[in-house]
Amino acid sequence: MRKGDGSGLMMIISVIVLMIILVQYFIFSMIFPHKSVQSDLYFGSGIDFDLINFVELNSDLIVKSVKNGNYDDLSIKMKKMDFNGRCWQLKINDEVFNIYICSMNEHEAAETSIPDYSNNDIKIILRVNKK
Amino acid sequence: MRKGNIFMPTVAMGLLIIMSVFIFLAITHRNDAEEFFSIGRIQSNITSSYFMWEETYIYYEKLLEYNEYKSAKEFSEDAAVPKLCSRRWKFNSECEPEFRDYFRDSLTKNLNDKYKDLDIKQDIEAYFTDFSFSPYSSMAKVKYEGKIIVKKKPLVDFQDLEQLKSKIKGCLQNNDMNPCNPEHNKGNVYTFRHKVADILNEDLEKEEVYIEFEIDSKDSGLITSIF
Repeated sequence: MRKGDGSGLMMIISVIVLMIILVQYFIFSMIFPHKSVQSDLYFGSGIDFDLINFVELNSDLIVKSVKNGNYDDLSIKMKKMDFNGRCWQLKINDEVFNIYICSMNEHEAAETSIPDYSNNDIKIILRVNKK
Repeated sequence: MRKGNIFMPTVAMGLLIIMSVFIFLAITHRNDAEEFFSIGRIQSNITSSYFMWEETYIYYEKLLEYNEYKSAKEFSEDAAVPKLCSRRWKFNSECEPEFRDYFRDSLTKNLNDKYKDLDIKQDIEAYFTDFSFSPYSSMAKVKYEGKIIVKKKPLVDFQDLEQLKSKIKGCLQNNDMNPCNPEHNKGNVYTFRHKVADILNEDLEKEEVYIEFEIDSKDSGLITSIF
């Protein structure tokens, strides 16, 4: 085989291999756009855990506040909630609490309920702005 | 043309065709492809289901707790006997206290049919409802089913009360009420007071509840010694 034989072929093959690598990269970036999967059923979010914790730790205070219509003590507990500076709202029945003066935009939400002393439901909804 | 000269171009073209087909399939079946390659959907749904279960459990745990407080209060107010007995115990009659039965009836009434089964032995065991969560993806479906049963130690120490009852029976049969430490007496009628539980009242304030009852030593329902 003479010197130079097959060099054209090698160039073509190199270009094809390069294309294959780039196409693979494109395909995988398309299939895994954010490297996460959002299920249809999973509404939420990490804030479920925050809401459950808050409700479980303060359930008696929530029931008491709703009964008396006085949320001062509960507001102090709410101040301890933090979502890395993101704007949030907590709704207890019809009362809405928003300690930070900010507006809710695109947000995630978690909802739960607890019974009061007379077996009526108290509905609690936490909304937190998405990052 | 030699065999070696066509091998590499054929391989390259073949790979190109395979990749093109692969891209075409990936684009036309994008959702399936995403799900097939993902390991997160079932897991995220399981997490979601767990949170739902947790929320439901907390709800029923609080429901049982508050109704137990109410029952403990009623238990103390009625002295564990029907209202018509006016807090006066009389053995071998409907005014003889049956602590667990009274408490079960009271709790049943307060829970207002929000449970399926209620058992009070060493623990209170309330079976409230069933849960069924079915996280799924197109590749698999997982089904979780079970009962939401809340189990807790009763606030009322029934064993302690049974001991008190036995002790009072003994005192009546011995015609000597002093060892039973009555609060006071008016003739043959002795008044007793005994702590039942620490509860949260309807204002969610801490409260100690006491069982306060009377016994007429001449009409206790027991056959007592005449000597």
